[in-house]
Amino acid sequence: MRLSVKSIQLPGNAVKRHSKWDREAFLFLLPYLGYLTFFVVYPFYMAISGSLSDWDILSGEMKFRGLYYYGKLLQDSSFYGSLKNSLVYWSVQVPPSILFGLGVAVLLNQPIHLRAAFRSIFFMPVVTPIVTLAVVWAWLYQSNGGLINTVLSMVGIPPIPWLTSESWSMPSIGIMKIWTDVGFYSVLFLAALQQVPNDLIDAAKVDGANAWQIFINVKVPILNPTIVFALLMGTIWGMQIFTEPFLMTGGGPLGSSRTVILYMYEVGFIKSELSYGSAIGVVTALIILAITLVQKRMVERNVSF
Amino acid sequence: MTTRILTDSERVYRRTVSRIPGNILVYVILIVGTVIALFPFYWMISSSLKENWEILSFPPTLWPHTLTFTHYQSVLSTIGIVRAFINSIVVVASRVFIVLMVALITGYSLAKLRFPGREVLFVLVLALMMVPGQIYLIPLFLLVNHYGWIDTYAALIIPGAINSFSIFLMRQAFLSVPNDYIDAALVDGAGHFRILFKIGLPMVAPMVLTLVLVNAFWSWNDFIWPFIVIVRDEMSTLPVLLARFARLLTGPVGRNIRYGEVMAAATLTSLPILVVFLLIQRMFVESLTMTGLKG
Repeated sequence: MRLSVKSIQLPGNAVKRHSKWDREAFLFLLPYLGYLTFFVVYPFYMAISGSLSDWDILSGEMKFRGLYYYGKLLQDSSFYGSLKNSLVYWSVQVPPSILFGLGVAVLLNQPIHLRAAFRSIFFMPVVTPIVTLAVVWAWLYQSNGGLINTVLSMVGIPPIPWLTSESWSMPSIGIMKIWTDVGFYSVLFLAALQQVPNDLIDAAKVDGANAWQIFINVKVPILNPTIVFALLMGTIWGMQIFTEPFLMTGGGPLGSSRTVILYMYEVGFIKSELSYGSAIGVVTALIILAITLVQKRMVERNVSF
Repeated sequence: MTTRILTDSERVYRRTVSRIPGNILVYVILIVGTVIALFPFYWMISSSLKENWEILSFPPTLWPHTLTFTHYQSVLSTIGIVRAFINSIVVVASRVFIVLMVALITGYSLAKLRFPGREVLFVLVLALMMVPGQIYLIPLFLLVNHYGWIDTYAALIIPGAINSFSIFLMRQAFLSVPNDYIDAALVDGAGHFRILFKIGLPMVAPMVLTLVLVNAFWSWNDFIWPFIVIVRDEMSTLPVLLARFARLLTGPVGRNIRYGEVMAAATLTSLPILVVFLLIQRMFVESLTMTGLKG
């Protein structure tokens, strides 16, 4: 239908429009421009200028302080601690999630029954509200009477202080997030695997390659942009994690699961230090922005290959 | 070379036979994965249906001895979860409606209309997609506070409704609408508003669906913003109410003896979105993966 209608028309802009600009555009753009002004540009400006001033919470007045709060940030062991926690989280969560996701995608890419059903089941944690998952897992993780430790004790393993010890709190949250994210990555990789041309696989088979060789030498290079994308995506998500530690550990014990965003929340909203909170927000945003730019650069470069 | 040429039936036979042992292992792993993926959900729901003594019993029971709905009754009658459910629906519906309308007209303008600064505005949209939202948290809170919006629907709906990502999605969708259609309608005397909704909208319907799903998902599950701007339980969304309820009952050290109720509330919070998900799995999965670029 669509094609036939198009084919009888002249190509390109056959009809000349009357004026140079479409006047409706100004009306159409008004809501978005209004939103940008009030809820993006203005708060953005406030965050930057607030971080460069003494920002009084009652009057809202700002007295210029220059880079004082950024200097404070550079000497703040709590901030470094939160960065270190993010690193711990990253190493526990991101590479395993991606590896498991890739593994599940490879399995789902086999000629199997119920592929869609498996895919949906693995995706369920992705769509579930984080608050629900945090509440359920906090209970599973409970040192005394939590299901995981109860089951461990039945097979003779001493209880693990999942959320109550400094060394375990961040990894525990990471393990829970592996469980949630595998479904997302597996769908991402499954879509990429289905793009691998059959000719390439057949050619490799003719050359006598086995399944593993085909995977490493044919599929992984094609999946490469997706893997890079997933890696940086996971890194950005990891930097932004807030709800899980906030609800499950409150950032503790002793700040061992306090993430950067949780620290910003504590400084800005609990201690009401607006300037310092804004400075943390700006620096975190810059870090995330840097990762995003790397991601775009790498994905674009890889896609063109 | 001739040995490689097989008939179709031989090929099918060979494939089937060579697949069998590998296949069983694949199914075993996938079923183990299924159990791991589903178990926390099963535990949440089954615990919400157990009586208190059974929740705390050792060894834990996999299947409830006696099914009881007392936790649901108690949660529904005491913590205002019905009101929170209504709040969540109101917030999600309003936000989705606002973002859809704005994304339609803005996306259409960026793709099809000529106005000065079009390229600049599009670059701005792209740039804003990359700026993480956390940077706005403190100033937006002050702004909302300044307007007296704390504990109102306005705070829950307005600041977070529109996102540049949705604008970008709609702009890309409208690019695929042929100019000829629009020109023909202009000749017939239609305005761009009518063209957008009569001609453009049906052609970008799949993207509209994606946009609705993704935004509904984001705002249903949103936590940090509603948690900051809502103080009273009556104005809470479901996740905020659940978080407050669970935190109230579970101290940092103390053991909570009301886990049945917490699990009932957790189930009710996730049930609506899980039901929608199960009804339209494929669309949901594809929409969320496609738009995964935004956390």
